[in-house]
Amino acid sequence: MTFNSIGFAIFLPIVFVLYWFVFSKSAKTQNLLLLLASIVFYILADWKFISLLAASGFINYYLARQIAKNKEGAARSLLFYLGVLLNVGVLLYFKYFNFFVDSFVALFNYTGAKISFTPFHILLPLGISFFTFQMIGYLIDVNNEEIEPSSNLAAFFTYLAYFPKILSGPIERVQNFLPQIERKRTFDYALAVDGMRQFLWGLFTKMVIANNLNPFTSEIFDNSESMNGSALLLGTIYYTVQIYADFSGYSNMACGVSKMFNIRITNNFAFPFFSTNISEFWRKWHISLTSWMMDYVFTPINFLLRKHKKLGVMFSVLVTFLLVGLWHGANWTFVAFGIVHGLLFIPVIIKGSMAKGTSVAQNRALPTFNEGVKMISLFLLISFVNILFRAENIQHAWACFTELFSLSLFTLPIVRPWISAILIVFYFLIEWIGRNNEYAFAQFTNKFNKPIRYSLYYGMALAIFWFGGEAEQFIYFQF
Amino acid sequence: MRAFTIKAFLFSIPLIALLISLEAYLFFHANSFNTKAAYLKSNAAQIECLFLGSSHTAGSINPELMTMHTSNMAHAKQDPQLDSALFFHYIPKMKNLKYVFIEINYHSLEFKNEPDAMRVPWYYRYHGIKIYEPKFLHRFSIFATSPNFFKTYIVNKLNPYSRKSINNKYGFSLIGIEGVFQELNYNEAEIFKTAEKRIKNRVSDPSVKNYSFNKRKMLSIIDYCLANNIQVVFLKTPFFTSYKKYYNSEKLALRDEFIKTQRAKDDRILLLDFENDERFTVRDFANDDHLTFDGAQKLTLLVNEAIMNQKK
Repeated sequence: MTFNSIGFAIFLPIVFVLYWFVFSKSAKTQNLLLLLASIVFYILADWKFISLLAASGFINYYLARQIAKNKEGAARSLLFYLGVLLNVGVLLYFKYFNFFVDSFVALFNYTGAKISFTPFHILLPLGISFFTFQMIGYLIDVNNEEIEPSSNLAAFFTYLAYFPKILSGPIERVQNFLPQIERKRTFDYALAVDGMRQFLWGLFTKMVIANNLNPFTSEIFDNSESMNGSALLLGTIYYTVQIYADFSGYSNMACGVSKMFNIRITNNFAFPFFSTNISEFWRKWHISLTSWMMDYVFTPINFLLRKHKKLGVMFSVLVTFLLVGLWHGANWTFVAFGIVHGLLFIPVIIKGSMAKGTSVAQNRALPTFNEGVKMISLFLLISFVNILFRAENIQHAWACFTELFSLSLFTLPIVRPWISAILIVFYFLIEWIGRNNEYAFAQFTNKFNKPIRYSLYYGMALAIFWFGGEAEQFIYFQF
Repeated sequence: MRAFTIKAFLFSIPLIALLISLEAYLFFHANSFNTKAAYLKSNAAQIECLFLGSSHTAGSINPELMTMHTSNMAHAKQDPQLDSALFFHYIPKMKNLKYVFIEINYHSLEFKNEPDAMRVPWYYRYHGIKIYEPKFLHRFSIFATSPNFFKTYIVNKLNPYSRKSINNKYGFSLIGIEGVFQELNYNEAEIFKTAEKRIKNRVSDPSVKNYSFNKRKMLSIIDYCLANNIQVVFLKTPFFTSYKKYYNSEKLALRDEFIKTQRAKDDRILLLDFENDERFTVRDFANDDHLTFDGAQKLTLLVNEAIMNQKK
């Protein structure tokens, strides 16, 4: 079951009514219902790995408590490293085993040895990258004594399996989530309405924008050998918008659903394309992953290398982005994607503007010329790197780059999806106008009277129904 | 909380009403599926000729021109599994059935619908036939089987300027299909030049699995007919030369072998072969493998003539 399925349209109202009308007595009953709903949701999405999720929950819950009990000494470290290793091990097995073995075999064969390897048939559990990272972060925070381990098993499991975020995040921090569900939630009308709006906007961006761009990006990248440079340029731009509409759509739906239960989860996006440098972009793109990497990878490495100043920062950024790339998938294209993004930070680090870049066009309707040029350049740069994200393998990516930067870039594109271009302009226009809100559509609903608001809601619902492209899986489900 | 729930419910009412009206429109509005089903259900006892097969037969045989009481139960993308399911579903009611026409074209023994094929649930809705367990939603909603297909369908129906399909009481389209040959002005050079693009993805390699499965399904119909004195007729509909150029010879040989073996086993099986019939010219074709309305009239008369001669 996914957010854009008919099943979810039945599931959500049932859970909502039960939550507020039947199980609203105490935090305990509310959590129990959310946990049950989350288990049903996960089983309906991918029943095969529910036991893995349960095992992950029990082991991490127990280990965190044991870590906290052993205040000092080797036992504490042993438990901590065991926990991290177990989580990483699960991720390595399910996500990276074939990739690493295959790469080693290829390396050996390159040196003249003759080894063959038949990849194992390993199914990837849904949401594994998200819930494993949550668990690793939880153990680190308990070990660093930044938080107390949870003593409420039901609340802990609700945190782990909470259905709005289990499949594609956000990678929620325990310190943000647990306090919210350890107290009884009361119904907040304004928040619930806002949640519905945010869900509607997320559904719109997924169904109308992302799903309608998908046929063109698929056509262009699946037949890249017969595409000219200008078509590939269109493809890269469309694909960048598609990933954004797809993943931010999912995130808006997740936040929106969660608000209906009076639980706030991290919004993963903050209008990243209105950034003027790469550092700002990553502060606004997939925020929960970036901040996780920042806290648990970048900061410790950077601290260790603090004597090396900018060189140390560069190295820390490269390692961090290598992991960001690998987090996305077991493919050299993702490794290259991470490294290239890491390299893009170097000029920013040299300039010392890592922390710079806030909001463009503050208190103005339009950006300055300088801001506009920077935003467009950054968008194009990110779009080019996204070829690595979309390509089947490095050879495919290289072939796309070669054709893209050939003279055929200056010819008319073979594929001309102009209606989709209008759709993109319309989407970015709304995003631009609503950029000072949590999500763009909020701008259009907060200021209007009821008839206009309702017309907008119905207009959007009808657009989703009528123009929503063929149901496609969310791109980030594969991670 | 109560106010929110009531408002959310009220908000959804127009949307639910829209869905229900679309569903009702699809269910009650005459289309080839429900027209054919209704005709067969009310005339089963009188039917003498039954045509089974895919769009090649669906768009080629007009029961109105047949001397005997005829039902053309062929539909687009109908495979032998569905042929067989339809046949055995209605056979107890068809007491007067004398001829069963089984389409045996190039693809007939190789094509098999997957469980998620768009049209499969329609057989459940219109005929009560379940070849795969239908999805929960598909039991109630035709629209849900393929929203995008039906959105286009409904827009086309409601658009006063679009070309409307009109079916006769037998569910046969009186305007035929809108084919690429007309767009190409029946220019044979252009037709051949552009054929590869149209056909290459449709001419797949042989599938032993599908072949064996479909063969079993066809044989079940044949065996029943022979045992019950019903004449089996293998029908090969006309194909334009541009299509035949891309035939997979292995697949073709398997099909021909099947026909030969069955006819050798029982000489009561009749073969009406129009696949290479030169009486059909380019203007009889809507595209490489489908006839126009005029082409269909021509074929129906030829089939009728052959059957009436055989009857004598």
